[in-house]
Formats: sequence, structure tokens, C-alpha cells
Amino acid sequence: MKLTIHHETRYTYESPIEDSIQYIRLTPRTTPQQRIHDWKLRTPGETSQMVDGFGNLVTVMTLTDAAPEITLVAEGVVDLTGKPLTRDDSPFPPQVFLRQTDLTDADEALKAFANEYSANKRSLVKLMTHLREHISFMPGATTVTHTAREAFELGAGVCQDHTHIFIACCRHIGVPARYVSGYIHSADVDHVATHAWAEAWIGSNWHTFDVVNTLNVAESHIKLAVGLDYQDAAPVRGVRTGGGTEQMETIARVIRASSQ
Amino acid sequence: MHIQTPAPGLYDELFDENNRVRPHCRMLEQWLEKSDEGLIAEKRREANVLFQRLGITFNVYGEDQGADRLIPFDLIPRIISASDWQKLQAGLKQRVHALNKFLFDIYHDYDIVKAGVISAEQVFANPQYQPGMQALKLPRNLYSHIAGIDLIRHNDGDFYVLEDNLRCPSGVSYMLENRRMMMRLFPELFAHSSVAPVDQYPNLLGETLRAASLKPDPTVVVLTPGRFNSAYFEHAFLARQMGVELVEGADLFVHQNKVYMKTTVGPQQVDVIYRRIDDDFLDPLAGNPQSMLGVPGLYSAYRTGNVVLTNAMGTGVADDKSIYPYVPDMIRFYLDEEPILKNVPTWQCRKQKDLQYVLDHLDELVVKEAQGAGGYGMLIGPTASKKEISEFRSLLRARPDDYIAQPTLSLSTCPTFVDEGVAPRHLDLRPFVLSGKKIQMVPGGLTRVALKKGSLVVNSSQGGGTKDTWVLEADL
Repeated sequence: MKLTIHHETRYTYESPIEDSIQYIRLTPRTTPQQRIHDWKLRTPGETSQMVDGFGNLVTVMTLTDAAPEITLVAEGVVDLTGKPLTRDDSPFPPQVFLRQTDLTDADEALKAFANEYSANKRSLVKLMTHLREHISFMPGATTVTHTAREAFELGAGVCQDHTHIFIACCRHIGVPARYVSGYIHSADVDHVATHAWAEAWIGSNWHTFDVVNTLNVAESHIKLAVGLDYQDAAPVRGVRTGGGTEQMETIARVIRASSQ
Repeated sequence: MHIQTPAPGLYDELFDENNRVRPHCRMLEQWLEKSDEGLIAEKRREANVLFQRLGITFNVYGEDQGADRLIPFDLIPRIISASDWQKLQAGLKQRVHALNKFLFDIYHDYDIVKAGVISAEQVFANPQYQPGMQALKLPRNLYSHIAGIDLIRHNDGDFYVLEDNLRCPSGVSYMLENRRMMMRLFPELFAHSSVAPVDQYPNLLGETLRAASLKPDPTVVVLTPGRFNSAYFEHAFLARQMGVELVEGADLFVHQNKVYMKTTVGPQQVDVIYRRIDDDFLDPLAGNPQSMLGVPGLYSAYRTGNVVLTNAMGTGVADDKSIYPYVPDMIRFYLDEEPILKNVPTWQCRKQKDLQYVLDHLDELVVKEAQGAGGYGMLIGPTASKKEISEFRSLLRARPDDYIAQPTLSLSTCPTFVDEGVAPRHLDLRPFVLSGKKIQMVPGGLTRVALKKGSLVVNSSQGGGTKDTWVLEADL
């Protein structure tokens, strides 16, 4: 399946910002599951590249002149091959993903919830399904700093929260699990196309767990970055000087390209 | 002055088991014998005034107002014979060499895990393991350029390694200042003995930091969290001694994956950062987003090889107390040598069998947090109350993975000035090991002394003091 992606993020400020530096993870890698064609990332300022410890492609943007706004545009064409996840495309032994972080650390309530499940695919699919029933999808209910415990207690959140909670449960029961940020194609064009889901290590393979959509295959998912949690895989992390309050608008479209 | 002799069953640095003065300590004992109490009291006051004036004070965590306070300095030096030092030095170099090889291995090919010497979970799920270090090429494959190894001498007379400090070990400024103080107060003592000098340490440290980069003449800075940090004095002291800039995060910036220092004549590229800031606070875009101490973008410069951090990120996984029991095996695995220095036998409470033993022998053992430092989360069984023991029992049952236990070692004693006169007090030793083009040490270290009678806790945050550490150039 060939998909065309257009993703635009615009930050506007109360007053011009003086400078900024950002780590931008908006460039997908070619893997057995996805082939990347013509990918472009447009940013203001100067950019350089790095590959982080998880193997994610990171664009480092530095802005040294006053700017009233920052617009980031990522676009390109990706071919999804439909191949299942394999033994590993991560540079690490899976045990790295056993460690809880501030965002995923499980409290007693989460541990009690997780203890009902065990380290096999059937059980984890049940966990995913029950979590989805328990946590409603409610944009605006949480922010990017919400932890798995907080969202679990709230019983609401967005894909990031569902993913953190699922990861927290997996790690608690000894299953390595990692956070994935990316895009998802949906027949419904207005559907939010930026997405987050989890991958869990069962047996000797990674498996997809898209909690919000209760899917355990990644047939319409484009992977941008992986990490221990949102902080590692966030599409944009930055700091700036000046600017006052920030407003963010984002448009992300994933459209099926006409087959050739 | 009268010197109290040590309690039986302990190793004393001055007296042997028959209360005879050890031959290499005779000169010290003679000096103490003929020194009059009034003079010593006078010198102690003088030392206090001088330390206060120098600004060597210490901020104690958990104390109200974080007021600066002097670490008590004891005038009686601790003496290490030339032959003991030879063995210590060889053992410490061997140990740090193996630890650096371990760090390289666990961020590259994991040979030690593949060989089954240590489990993947213990290495990779350790909170100190830094995924961001994966496959990063560092000059000379060095991670812990500056290591501080804590040792104690047991009643068998042997030195045991208690803990490896591979992140930002502090205390070396006390080693240097204590020596200066002693030379100033008692120049005659040095005239009649062959105490090895330590004042070349800043030069060796500078050499080590420059060797951390492959550039011919790298620019080195010392990065401090600022003057509210408990070790700020040391950061400023070492920068001044080496003649390099002392900077805070706000003095540096990153552009196009390179680090620059703001100077009056414009930006200057920085090649080596001797950082005294914890991993998580180095770059708010890679670690703790709330950190104001670090430099945004620093990780990108590090990751792309444009700056060297000393010590490297992610060294904490090798000095974690849960990894400590494996250090002798690391020495065998990487160097194919037998460890020269002993490790303290350690029960890992994560193992069911070990946990059971520990729970059954809590009144005999020392229990420590695997991640702790500073002597806060610790149980010393033989001196603990029933209540403390029962509290630790619940902690151990709830979170066994977080604890290790060791036998209560009898730290050696050394005569020390206290209110009751000159009496034996327990002490430890932290020598510093520098890894650059080669592994180097100065003959000495920081000796910490527990000033409370019978106490085994030497941490300055818990009321410990320091002594000058004399390594003799030759034994008599």
C-alpha cells in the first residue's frame, strides 16, 4: 500500500522568539515494513542530522534570528509492505525496554490491573482490549506531561496515554515494551493521522499493539521513532528564548496514493 | 600526648595486634608523644580558620537552610606503607581498566552478556543504562576517565573495594587541601619522612581530560551545576588549578552539533567537558525536560562526536551496587587476570535464596539500596534497633530487587583527635584513578573518618571527617 503523507505543524508566538533549538523526529526510516520514497522535512533556521541511540533519525534545528513563527513540514511517499515485525530492528537487546520511566512507572492500581494478564500474545491482546474499554479516547483530557498512572486514574486520554498505560502494564509483568510514534492511514480522511502505539516483545519477536484502535497488526502504520516512552520518540522537542505564549496548529494527512 | 590503643579484633593503622607501633608509623607516633595538647589545640583552631578562609565548606543534603559547614579535618594523618600502596595501585588500575572495558562492551556487542557472565536483564533493564550511548564511538573507548574507588581495610589486614564511583566522584579537592594544610601547620613532619607528593593531581587531571579528545590541543571546560551544589568548591578549585574555564550550562550553547562557550571575544568551540552534572540533567532535549542546568542540544554534539563528556553518559550502570558483585568476573573476562583487590561478599536480594539468607541474618548484615549513595538508605544490622530492623524487613519484602546486603566489615581504625583525647576511629579510603593515554594515579586519596566512637559511617553528610593520607615512598 502506497501512502502520501503531508504533515504540517505551525507554532505561533505572542512576540517573536529570539532563538530556538529543536530535536525533530519526523523522518521515517526504511525497514522491512516500510519503504520511504521522496521524504522531505522543511524547517526554518539551520539543520544538522543525528541518529539517536534508538536508531531514530533526528533533525537538529537551530534558529538564531528572531522569528514570529516556526513551521515544520514533513511530506513524502511511503510504501507499506505488509510484512510482519521480525526478530528485531532495534539495536538493543529487548531487555532495555523492561525499564519503567517517569511516564510509565506503574502504581498499585496499575499493577493490580496488569497482574491479571500474562506474558503471551492472547493475554496481551485481552489486556489491550480491556484497557481500551477502561480508558476513553478523549482529546484534551490530558497533556504530553501526563503519566500512565495519572491517565489510568482519570480513565481518559489520547493515543499517547493508552500507549503509556499498556507499556506500563507489560513492563510490570516482565514483557519488554516500547513506545512508537508515527502516522496511521484511515479511510476516514478527517481522522487524526499522527499516532502512537506500542510494540511488545513476546517469544522472540516484536508485536504491534495499537491500543486506541485495538489492532495488533500494523497494516496502515508508518513508524517515525521508537523509545522507552513519549520523551524518547516525541516528534518535536525544543526550547526557545522569548516568544511568550505559544499556539500550535497541526495538519496531518495520510492519503492512499493511486496505484501505478 | 597519650594515645588510646585500639579495641581487640580490629585492624589499626598505627598499632599492630600486640599494640606495638607499626614500623612505618614510628615517626608519627614519636611526634604525637612529644606534642603537647595545648599546641595541638592551637593548630586545630588554626586549621579551622584557614579552611573557613579558603572556603572549603560542604553543603549537607537534607539539612535545614543548606548552610555551608566545614567538614571536620583531623590533624593526625593516615599512613599507608609503600608496599601496601604498590598492591593497591596495581589493583585499582586493573579494576578501572576492566570497568571501562565493561562499559564499552555493554554499549556495543554485549560479549559479557552473550557469554552468560551477567544476565541481560541486570545490565539492560538497569535504570542507569543509557540507551542513548548505544554504539557511540568514544576516543580510546574510555567511559570513566575519572574514577573514585572506595576501599576499607578489614581486620584481616586486607583492603576490600566497597564501591566504585564512576559518574562524578568528588572529594579530590580535600585530598589536595588536606595535604597543603598539613604542610603549612607541621612542616617539620615532612622534613623527616618520605611522604609521596600529591600536588601533581591537577596536572594529571588536565592531561587526562585533554587525552579524552583526539584533537591535538582541545579546549577543556569544567561544567558545574552552580554555586548551590555541595561540591561547587571542588569544581571551582579544579578549574582554577588546571587553568581552564569553569562554566555553567548558560555559558555554553550548541550550534550545528557543536558546543561553544560564550566569551568576550566571541564563541569558542569546546572539545572536552569535565561535567559535574548528572546524566539526566545534561540536555533538556534528551533527558529531564525541566532541567535548567544543562545545555539544550548537548546530546546532539556528543552523539555526533563533536564533543567529549568526561565522564561519559551511562557510566552509572557499572558502579551500581547490583553490578558490583560481578566486577571480579569482569576482570577475569576482559583481562584474563585474577583480581588483585578483594570484593566484599555480597548477597543480591533479587535472588530468592540470597533474600532468604538476608532476612534470616538482618542483625549481622549491612543492607544497602542498590541505587543509593551517601549512606542514607542503609541498615547496619549489629547497631540497629529492633524497630529499624523490622522496617527494613518490610522494605526488603516489598522491593527485594532494590537491595543488596554485605557482612558487617570491621573498618580499620586510626588514632584521631576527639573530645576525649587521641582515640581510635574507623576510616575508609577513596583514591582516584585517571584514565587517558594511560591509567594514572597520584599516591594518596581521600581518607574519611567516622568521628563518633564505634561508628562505621564515614560519609561527610553523616558527620564524618577527613584526614590527610600519607603514602610512603619507601618502607623503612
